[in-house]
Amino acid sequence: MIEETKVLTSRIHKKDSHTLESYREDGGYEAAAMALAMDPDEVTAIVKDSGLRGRGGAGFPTGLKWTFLPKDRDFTYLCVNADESEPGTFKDRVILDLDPHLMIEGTVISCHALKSEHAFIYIRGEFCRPYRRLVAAVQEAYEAGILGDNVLGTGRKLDITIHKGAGAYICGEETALLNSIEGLRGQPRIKPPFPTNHGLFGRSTVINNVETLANVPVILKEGAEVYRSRGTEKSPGTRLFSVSGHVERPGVYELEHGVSFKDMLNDICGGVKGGRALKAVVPGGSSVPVLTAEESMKLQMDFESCQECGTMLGSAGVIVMDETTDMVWALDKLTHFYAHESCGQCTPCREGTGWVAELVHLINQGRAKSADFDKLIDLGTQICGNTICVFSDAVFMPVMSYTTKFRSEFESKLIDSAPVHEKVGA
Amino acid sequence: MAKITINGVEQAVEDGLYLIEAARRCGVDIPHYCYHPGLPVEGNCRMCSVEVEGIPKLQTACTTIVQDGMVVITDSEKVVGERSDVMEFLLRNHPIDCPICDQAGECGLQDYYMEHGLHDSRITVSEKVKKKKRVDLGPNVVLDSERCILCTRCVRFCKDVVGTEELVIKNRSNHAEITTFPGKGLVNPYALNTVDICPVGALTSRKFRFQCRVWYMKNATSICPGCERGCNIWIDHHENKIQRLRPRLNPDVNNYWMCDEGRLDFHWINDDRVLRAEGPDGLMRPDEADRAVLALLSNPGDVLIVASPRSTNESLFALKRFVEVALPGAALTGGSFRPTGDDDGFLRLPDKNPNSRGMREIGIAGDLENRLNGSAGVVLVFENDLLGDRPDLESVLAGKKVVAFTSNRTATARGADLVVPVTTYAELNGSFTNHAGLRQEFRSAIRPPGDSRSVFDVVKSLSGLLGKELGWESETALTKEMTDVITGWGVRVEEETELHAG
Repeated sequence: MIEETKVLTSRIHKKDSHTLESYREDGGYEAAAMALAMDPDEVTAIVKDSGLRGRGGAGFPTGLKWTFLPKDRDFTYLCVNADESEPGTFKDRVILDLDPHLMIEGTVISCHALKSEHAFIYIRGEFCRPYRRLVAAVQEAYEAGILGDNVLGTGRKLDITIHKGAGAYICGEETALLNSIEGLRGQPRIKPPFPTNHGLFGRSTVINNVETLANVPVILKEGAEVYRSRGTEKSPGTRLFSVSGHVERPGVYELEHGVSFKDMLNDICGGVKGGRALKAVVPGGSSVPVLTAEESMKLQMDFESCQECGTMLGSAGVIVMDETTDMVWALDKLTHFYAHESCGQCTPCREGTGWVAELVHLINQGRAKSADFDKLIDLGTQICGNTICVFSDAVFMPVMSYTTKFRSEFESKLIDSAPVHEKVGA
Repeated sequence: MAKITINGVEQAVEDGLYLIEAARRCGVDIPHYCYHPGLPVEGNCRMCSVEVEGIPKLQTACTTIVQDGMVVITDSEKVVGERSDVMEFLLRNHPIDCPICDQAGECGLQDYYMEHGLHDSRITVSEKVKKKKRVDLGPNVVLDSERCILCTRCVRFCKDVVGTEELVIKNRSNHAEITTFPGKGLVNPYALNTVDICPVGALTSRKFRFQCRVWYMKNATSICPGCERGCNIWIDHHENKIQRLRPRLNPDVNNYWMCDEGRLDFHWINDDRVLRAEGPDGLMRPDEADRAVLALLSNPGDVLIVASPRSTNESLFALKRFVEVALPGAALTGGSFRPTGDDDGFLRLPDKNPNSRGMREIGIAGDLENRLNGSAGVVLVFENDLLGDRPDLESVLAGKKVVAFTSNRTATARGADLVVPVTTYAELNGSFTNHAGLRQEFRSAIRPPGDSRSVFDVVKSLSGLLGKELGWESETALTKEMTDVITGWGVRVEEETELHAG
């Protein structure tokens, strides 16, 4: 019987956990004070040693990303990506809503490490209460001298600007996020140049996820050694898993990396809803390849195990689907979402996602022929790879995995599909 | 210089070039829609994807900067397949209404489909996304959203070339559309360039829409006579009528662009022309007209000849020689009363005459107003609408015999005693010298209508009647002498090949 390892979420069930007073009671901003007394490069080294990997989806080592900043830069921005929009992922919301100061402390420490005096928090437009609480928390931090011209009495400067998005999924892509903050149309930029060299307003910029930054005070407080003691070697630390779908107790759970999916499902989430059989699992947010029940039973929830299984841990948004789920219907919903959210910049993605969505919808309605199904598979490969950002891959992966692993379900909905039962006497 | 290998051939190219431009200079054409050499790169159409050795994914040639030792393949199966895929996607929601589309015949989609697509359609018309077919973006430009492939050339033109930022994209995914902000229009004075750079039929010129099929038109190189900038243009004509003017690449003068004012200023060449010489007794043949003019020239001291900075260098040079050789004693002056405009910092310049500098360098004095107020009783006005530009001159000209050598029925022509038709710049081989001293040659595009003759032919005939020789067998001889005599005019400006994408 496994249990939650509450490191980041240790405070979220307390009353008024979102206030500075409550945060301070639990030793808040001590890590920041400690970090500010250190050399910035020392802080970076600790984060690098901890092996912290980005929690936004790609899992890129955070400390390594920080060292990509050019040495001779004159100005640095930190952007906090709080535009959590991946279907099935809702863990940043919990931090923003229930413990915003944890993330702000992480921002203070990170800005010190990056020698940045200005951080931007790009928060998803639909987050209403988290937004209000974040604004209040930043206000509190300014009033308490944690932000402003004299950060924690050290004489250093740090300003935080909160920017509310307007509801576009693509603005969670880091360069689209930069464009959106700059007041431009929210669409990804061509890389290179990478944001570390030419980012927000043309300045060196680091973009980190909310959960990633929430890990930073913990690392500073505990030290890299203790932090590494949790999780696996290549995926250290704990992870906030957003579990949704057909489970008895959906929600956000903090577990160590490397926990088996089976244990998580049965011990933490209370098993599949109504005791029904498991059919499919999406382990890392809607855009990663789906797993069958059989595959998922062998799955461990860390970056490298997921990759071995042919999927990705992504943003750790676990979507559980039981035997009653119509996989064609599920893909229909998903492709509809992606077709709506393509920024429309690159030709293959703009035209392809809409086309894919239309074909899946046609199949789901039972109006498609086998030629349409073949076309769908064909389109999947056509869209992938030739675009500015990885959005098209995010469409390609579910389309290919759903149609391959649950092919019979798709075929049975085709008008000219082979009859399911053989004729008597044939 | 960087050494790159394109399709197995090693070539040296300039550092810092985008791969697509480097390849073009090496003679390898990479298909593209969103890339335009006069605009910042965007990399969104994905048509120019090529294989670069060492990089697993295809790279867009328009965003990749050449590096020494780069090995590029532009014709592999993977690249060709990708182009075909992109073509299929571009045509996915395109209405394919070529029969009623003005772009047909010079359309990037048609050209590249024949070259890189040729796939069978896998969609039916009813599945296509419907958008607005006729959006009035501004006074001169009409948008068909369904045809648009969202390459954003027009958006970037307004943002980065003109700086007015009128055009934006609204909506996402396959519902994305070009639009202006609510209540605003595409009103910048260079708006029609967006029609040129649009690789498909999405943006059309309100004046040219449904006027002429492009494959009927012939084109000639010319110079815009709208101001002293001397933008290089194409004259597109059909059945001896000018259908449209388009900018022609010249990095030293106008780059890829021209202003709307100059572009739309050609209807006077097609319409309202003087076709026959006209005197007090009615219409005349050219020889009758010349004799009528001659009759007025008996006392050269009483004659004032008014030249125009709208005339070509060749006309002005011939006119000057005519006065020197055949009519010594007559006064020659030049100038224009055309209202001046503003220097807008881009292309348009204040002086609305194309050849003021040429006239000065040929040596025709600009003391027009003084001379008109002088005592001369006979005024020969060449291609100059004195009364149209300055109606108050009517009293000055009232007591004088006025001969108007003109292409159109101008106010001056209406008030003249004798009207002789001459050609416009579109019917002449000639040259203008722009504000910077650059002498730019152009070719005749259409045939002169009616009895219109060039100024050279007119003065040649007049001097013949006077028993004098101008000294040139042909206009070529004239040009040769002129360019020999005037400093700096012998330099020939090489014509750049036009980079017209799509």
